[in-house]
Amino acid sequence: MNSDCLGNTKWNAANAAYAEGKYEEAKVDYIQLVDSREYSSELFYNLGDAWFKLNDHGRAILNYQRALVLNPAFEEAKANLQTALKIVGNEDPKTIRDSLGTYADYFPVVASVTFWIAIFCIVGALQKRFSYGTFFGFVSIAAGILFVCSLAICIWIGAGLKDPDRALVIESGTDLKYGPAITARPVESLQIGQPVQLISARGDWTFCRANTGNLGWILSRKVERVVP
Amino acid sequence: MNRLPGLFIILLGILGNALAEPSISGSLSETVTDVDHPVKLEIKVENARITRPPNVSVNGLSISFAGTATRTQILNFQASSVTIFTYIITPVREGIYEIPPVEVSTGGKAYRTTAMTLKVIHGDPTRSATSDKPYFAELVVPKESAYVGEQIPIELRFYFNQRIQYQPYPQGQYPIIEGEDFVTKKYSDPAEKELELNGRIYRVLIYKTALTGVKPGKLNLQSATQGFLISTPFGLRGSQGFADPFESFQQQVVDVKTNGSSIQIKPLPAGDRPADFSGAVGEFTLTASAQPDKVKTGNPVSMKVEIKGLGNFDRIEQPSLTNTDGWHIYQPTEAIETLDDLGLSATKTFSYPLVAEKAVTTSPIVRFSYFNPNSEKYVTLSTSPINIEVQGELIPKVSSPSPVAAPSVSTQIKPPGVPDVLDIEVRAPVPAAFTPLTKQPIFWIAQAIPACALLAFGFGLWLQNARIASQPLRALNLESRVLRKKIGASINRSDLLQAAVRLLELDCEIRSIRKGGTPPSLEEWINGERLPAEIRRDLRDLVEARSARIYGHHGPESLTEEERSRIISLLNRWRANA
Repeated sequence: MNSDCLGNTKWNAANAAYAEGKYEEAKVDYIQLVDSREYSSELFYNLGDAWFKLNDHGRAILNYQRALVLNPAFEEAKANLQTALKIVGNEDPKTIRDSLGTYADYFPVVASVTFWIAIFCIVGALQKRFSYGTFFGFVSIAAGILFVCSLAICIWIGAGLKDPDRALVIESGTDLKYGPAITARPVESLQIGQPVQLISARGDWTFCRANTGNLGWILSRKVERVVP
Repeated sequence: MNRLPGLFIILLGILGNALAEPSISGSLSETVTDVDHPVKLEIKVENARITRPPNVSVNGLSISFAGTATRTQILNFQASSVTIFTYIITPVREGIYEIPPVEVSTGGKAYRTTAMTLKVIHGDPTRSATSDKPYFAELVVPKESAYVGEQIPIELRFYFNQRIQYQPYPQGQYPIIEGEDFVTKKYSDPAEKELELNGRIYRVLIYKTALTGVKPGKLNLQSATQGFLISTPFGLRGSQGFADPFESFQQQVVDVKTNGSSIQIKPLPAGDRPADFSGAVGEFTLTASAQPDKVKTGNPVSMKVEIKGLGNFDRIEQPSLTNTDGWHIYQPTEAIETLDDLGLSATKTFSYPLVAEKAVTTSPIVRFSYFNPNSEKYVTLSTSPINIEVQGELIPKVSSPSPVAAPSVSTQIKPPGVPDVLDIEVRAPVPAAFTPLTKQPIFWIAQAIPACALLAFGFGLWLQNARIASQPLRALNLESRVLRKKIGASINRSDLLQAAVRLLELDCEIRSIRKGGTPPSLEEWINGERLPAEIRRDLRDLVEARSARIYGHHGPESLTEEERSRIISLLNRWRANA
């Protein structure tokens, strides 16, 4: 029996457990599939549902976010993410960078297509034997502008939501602190589902930047990377 | 019938409140203070609904609005509402100041406080010394004592000579207050204004936050520090007047420190602490509403509980519910709407989903306790039961009993209206990767396709251009081959001579094209010194014989083999030597 069959068996078993209301059992099966690196947007979506039913809204949000990273057009995951965020009271609008970051894989495609169109049209415009030299010139300018814009966005957003250092707050009562200690004063309180950028780690603490721009220390167990 | 007198008294109280005349009064926390030592001004409005704080301004006093507190109470069947507007007054010059009557309008009538007097004396002599500096800072703490958990609004003021340009450094960094045993709220965006101090005008950057003592005792705030990148004009000596547009600036990063301060933090009284007290300190009001007011058993009712006022809202937990018999109560959702920059004044709303399990007539009663630092007493607020008509038969319990408890995992049945998620996906999962597209080999392999196409296109163009360029040479070579065949096969003397001379001329042309320059023509070869004399003589004879035959018709028409061999030999020698 190959690993695909094993994966399918586990997948079906997890779905059956969920359907019977055995959310803990379903969650364990889904996590085993994640641990075997059989990533898919459906797997993270279902795992998010299992966490939601277990009232762990932080991890539910994290897994819906993972599902959306793998498939930005996953409407059910979007709806469930909104529901979970509403329940935890995190209704902050997404930043432009995060919104664009959802489509981080689309911009390199646009950049490369427009780059090659611009190059071919420049070559075409330089060939005097072609009678559409002016047309090629205009197309190359338009494609060049699109290329520069999409390249700029690519550089700005980087890997977007697939950034390996991007993490989400998964527990309530999380404070960003001035130092790596419980007694350190808080810089700001973070909400469940709020993204942070991990910078470095020291013991149980991680130095990070909140999406408000504030820098500080956070207990490592209270955040989890979006890219597993 | 026995309830009638009680109802009559309540109605009388409500009527009395409705007819109660609004009143306004003002009070200062201190009537004598020194320069830069702030005092608190409270404007108390009773029995009137005023939402906008009245304007208070006095020349020589810096007055900033600190917050609003609203309280509704029923004492001895007498309902009354009180709104308190708090201001922080910071004197900037010594003198005796009269705060004019503060006016509010309600119901078409205007009400005024009495005038208040504040005497400002010349206080700390070191303070005047600081004002000579191009920049300095101060920590303004409006209270000398507070309770554990009480939020104290404070201000960090950074003064800069008006000719200094400054900006917080690093950008986005907020001041750090040195000290222990306290927590602060997130800073509001700093405000900037101009203040006159000891006859000098300063630009002041004001950071506001609220501080909360976490344990009893003397709370020492050593200082607050903020880094600034400042541009100071050379020769700045605190001079006033217009800036010179050509003057030079010196940039430097400085840490600006405030003075220290201390607050006595008092413990919350333990004696009469209510059992449901969760740590809320401040002044609050409590209201509750429920929708709809007529349902069937099993259908949901949404009960909204609002706690409004001034205090530490982060410590307010869900209020306790009593009179819950017949109700199944789910975990409430929370929402906070802040009413000022710091979130000291706010409204916290708890929305409870309720499901009636049997026919009941009233909603649960909400109970909330807090500590009021002004009256120094615990206060317990309760809502009146809300009339809800529930009809239908008793339904079996589906989850843990009331009051509110964490819903069990697998047995929880969520009524309509309670947020739930869409069901799981059962279709076969499609494998996907978290690797960004630009780090996947397929992306770069795909780039090779148009790159190869571009190279192929370029190679094609080069080939085409090369073919076009070599077209004349190929024509000459072709003619040259035809002439050679003709020389080998012709029996006509005229044709052979003509072909031999043409072949020589073609050879010169081909050399010219190949070398890209202007090599000698056949005439120049014959007349020049580049070939051996014997070949030049034979070539001349050949050309003359061709001319004699073509133009003069001299010599025989027929061709001998010996003559053909001689001509072919000459052509070979020419090729070898030219």
